[in-house]
Amino acid sequence: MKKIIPFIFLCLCSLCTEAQKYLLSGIVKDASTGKPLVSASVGVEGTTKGTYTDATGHYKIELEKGNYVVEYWYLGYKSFKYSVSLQSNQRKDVALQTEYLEIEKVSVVGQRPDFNVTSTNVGVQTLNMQEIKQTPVLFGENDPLKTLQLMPGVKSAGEGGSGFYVRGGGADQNLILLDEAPVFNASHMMGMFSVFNADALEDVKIYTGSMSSQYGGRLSSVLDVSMREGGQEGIHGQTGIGLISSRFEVDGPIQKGKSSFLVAGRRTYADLFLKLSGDEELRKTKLHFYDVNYKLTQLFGTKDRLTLSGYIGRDVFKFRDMFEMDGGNVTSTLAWIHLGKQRIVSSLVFSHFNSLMSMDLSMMDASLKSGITNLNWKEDFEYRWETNTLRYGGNVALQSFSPGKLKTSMLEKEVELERRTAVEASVYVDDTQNIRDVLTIQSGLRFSNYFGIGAATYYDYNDEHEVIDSTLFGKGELINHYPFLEPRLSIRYRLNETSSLKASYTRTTQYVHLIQSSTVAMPTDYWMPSTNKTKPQTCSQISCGYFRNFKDNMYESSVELYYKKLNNQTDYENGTNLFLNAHLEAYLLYGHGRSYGAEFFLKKREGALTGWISYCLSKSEKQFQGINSGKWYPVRYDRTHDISIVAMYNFSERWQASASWVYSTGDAVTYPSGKYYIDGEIVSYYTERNGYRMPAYHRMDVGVTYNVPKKKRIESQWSASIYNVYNRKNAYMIYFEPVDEENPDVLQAVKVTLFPIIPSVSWNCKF
Amino acid sequence: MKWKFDILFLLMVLCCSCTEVIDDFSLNTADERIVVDATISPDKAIVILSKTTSYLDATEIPYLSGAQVTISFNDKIVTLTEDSVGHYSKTMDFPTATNYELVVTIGDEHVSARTYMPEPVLWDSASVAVSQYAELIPNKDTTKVLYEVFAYMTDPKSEANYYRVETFINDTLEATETTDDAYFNGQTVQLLTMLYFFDKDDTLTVSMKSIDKAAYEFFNTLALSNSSSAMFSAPDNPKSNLQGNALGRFYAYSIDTLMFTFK
Repeated sequence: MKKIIPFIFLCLCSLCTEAQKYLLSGIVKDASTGKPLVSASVGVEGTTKGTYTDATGHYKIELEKGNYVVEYWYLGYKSFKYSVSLQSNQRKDVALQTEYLEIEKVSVVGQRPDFNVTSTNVGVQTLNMQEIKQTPVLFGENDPLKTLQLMPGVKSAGEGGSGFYVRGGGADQNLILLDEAPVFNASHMMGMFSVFNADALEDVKIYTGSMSSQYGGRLSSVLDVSMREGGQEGIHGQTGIGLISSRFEVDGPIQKGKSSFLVAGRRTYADLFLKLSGDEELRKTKLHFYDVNYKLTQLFGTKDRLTLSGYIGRDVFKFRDMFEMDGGNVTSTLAWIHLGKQRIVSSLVFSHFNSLMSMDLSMMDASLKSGITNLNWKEDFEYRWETNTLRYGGNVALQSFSPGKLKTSMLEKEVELERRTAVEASVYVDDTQNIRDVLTIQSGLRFSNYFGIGAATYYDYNDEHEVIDSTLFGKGELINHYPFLEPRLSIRYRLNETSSLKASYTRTTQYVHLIQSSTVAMPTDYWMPSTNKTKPQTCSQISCGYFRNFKDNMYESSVELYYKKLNNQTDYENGTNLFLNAHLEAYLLYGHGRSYGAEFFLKKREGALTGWISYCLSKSEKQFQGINSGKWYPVRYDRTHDISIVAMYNFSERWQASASWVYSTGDAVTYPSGKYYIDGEIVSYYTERNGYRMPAYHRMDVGVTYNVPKKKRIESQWSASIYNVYNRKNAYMIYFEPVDEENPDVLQAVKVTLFPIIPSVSWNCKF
Repeated sequence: MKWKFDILFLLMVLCCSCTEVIDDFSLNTADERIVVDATISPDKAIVILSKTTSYLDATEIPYLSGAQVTISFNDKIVTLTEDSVGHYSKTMDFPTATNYELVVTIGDEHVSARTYMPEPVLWDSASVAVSQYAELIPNKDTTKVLYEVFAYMTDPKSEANYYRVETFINDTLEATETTDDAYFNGQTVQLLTMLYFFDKDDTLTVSMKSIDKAAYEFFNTLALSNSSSAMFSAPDNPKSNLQGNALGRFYAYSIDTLMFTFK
């Protein structure tokens, strides 16, 4: 016994020495505005220890007694190194300089430079605003979604459009969040422009592979867009005048150090010129969109932060007094962040999307209205200790879908499809554990629940699409309940300082289904919540990758492989009437999807020349009973090879140039393999779904920016870009028509091309 | 203000899409299939038999001769006679509110189908007037006048009805419209809405055919099958009511016709 006591004492002492750690904490701010930087990286050189600043810009890191070099990084800012001899708890506040001020040395440092090697994420891409603003685009309109399409695993929905597909998933399977608010239709002008105004955004992240369990509700990806907060150091702003739109942004403190605001807006103005026309009827024609972003921030002490942010956007198309199309999105987010022993984020999110189409002719006046409303309450908790970060929380969302209401003088009564109401409630837990700096395991579980709520009528159909039974549910009555468990797992194994292996498994569930007649967003698109017949969609994805950085993180590279299986996918029978069809569900077909591929990515992050090369080799297929004789067929956007090359070059402080080149295999399409005659008219004979290919798509865009020497507080720049510089006539669609009127039976293929070479110029200014 | 118009003009030119014939475009040619184009009107049955051909090339339609074609209804069996190669017909009164069955035997192949001829639904009324938009819409041919033509009908409430409205101008088929009564069951509706430039002495004929559900589905899917636009979903073969290894359809219709002559 006597020998045991000193032994225990010795053990306790060694434990005490082991536990002798000190806290380094502080706040990371923007040097010019004083605004706290959220999610800035803090890393300790020579170790893999690191952390991020929280929503109030605060960080804390626990280290053993000793000498360290601590480095601070943030997207678009110069990194900062701090040498510390840690003998007790210490506070260090850091102010980072923006890269924008010294453009000659643009080096895009988003997270810690070896983030892609050290993080557990597979298939995640972050874009900074500098990259978005420098990439040449159509009409010179910077668009985060279009720059995103240049990333591996993300495919564009079509020429000039902002829609996208991720790893074989449909356009409706992307969860698009703007400050936590879901955006149902993220485009303006039928997909031509996205709703995101780069001036108002902080950053854009897309998760195409592994997804933290805090995200749910969509199968294929999460696009997390956060709005910027107003700065604390005086009023700042920017404005831009482009070929088809103008924009402005103003931000600054309301009460210095305590509250701030940001307002940004855009409007296209092709139709303003029509007002100058001599023709009174033409003056009544409208074709424009506008949008406004705002964010208000209020700090209560150092521990609490309240933000109110939102978006209002509207598209208007009016032809004389005859036809009008109107629609838009409204989102608003009220978020409260509390920093105590653990971080608590409470948010109340409202989002609404509606469309209105009306026609007014003497012989026929008609209006069609539809809309989706989503009200979401969300609670997130984060608790960090030593090598673990634990996140948990939950949300309850009330969703209401109004598929359409038609009023017309041609019919005696108005036609209205029944409104559908649903509640989605989920809880999640997610833990990231770092084991000896070598292995990091992020494991999570999401338990999601869907409740269909009355009042509604549910139908049963026979094979002839006839109603055989119907059930009427009263207001507030529970119609159906689907619970799903969604496990998520990501593992990172660090091979050495510059390389790592990662693997992940993600399971997701989606309770809404988009029934679409076309590949672009239309007012007739029909969002339908799950029913007793249409079961929730599910998806399982496994992915793995090798990540390697070179030359002191100047280059980053990765190879990722993925396999994805989608269940309960919906399509509809040929000839289904999608327009206000109360029994559309009778015509729906249910099937599977699968997608697999390899993604290669090489990025140069620093130096005069920056940019990336992305190549994706993939296959995406679907299988439905009732389509293509039940055999697997390629989805339209199954592009076997998909290449993007983006390069940005800084010649001097004044001049920068950029170029991008994209190549992809042509879309899979259905063409006839024969013809026959009915009533003397040609009828096409098809033998397989999507069995043909459009010609390959490729295009090069270039851009140049000139920074005007700074005058007083004003910095301005001229940007010019050329879209489709070698005027490639990419086929937008191919149709068949008779060679001439005398030989109506001899047909020829005709391709429609959309955008030839298009130059544009814009002027931007910042104060 | 002139520069602004220049920009607008530039924009308008740039935004215009353009079309171009693809010279070396080729498509596969599928194995030949039998095609049956069979119709019964109240006074005649016509069946045309042929085969599929390659899509782009001009080939003579390969009509099928020597087939046995019968139509049976109300315990009667009528055999159609081949008037010319591949064209089979029979002129007689075919009653409405009757089920018909077609059987085609050609070599070893048997093709059959059933259809129903509904009771005719009649036009209630029609109106023709010079349009108030006549001056708004540019009209190069000054002798023509823009008219608005409406025609009304009352849908029978007791059953699901399917209609095919065919519009002929001077005996040339100008437009067809196929609809069911899902939006207007039992109501009086304006089933024809037409805005058209008519010349003096033009004739307008509007036929409303009452058809069965299978025929409605055929015509409805036929309209979609010829589109191959980039924007819209993949086209497919029209839905056929034929049994056996054949393409096409068999349908019966009753009809009510309106005729106008413009003075």
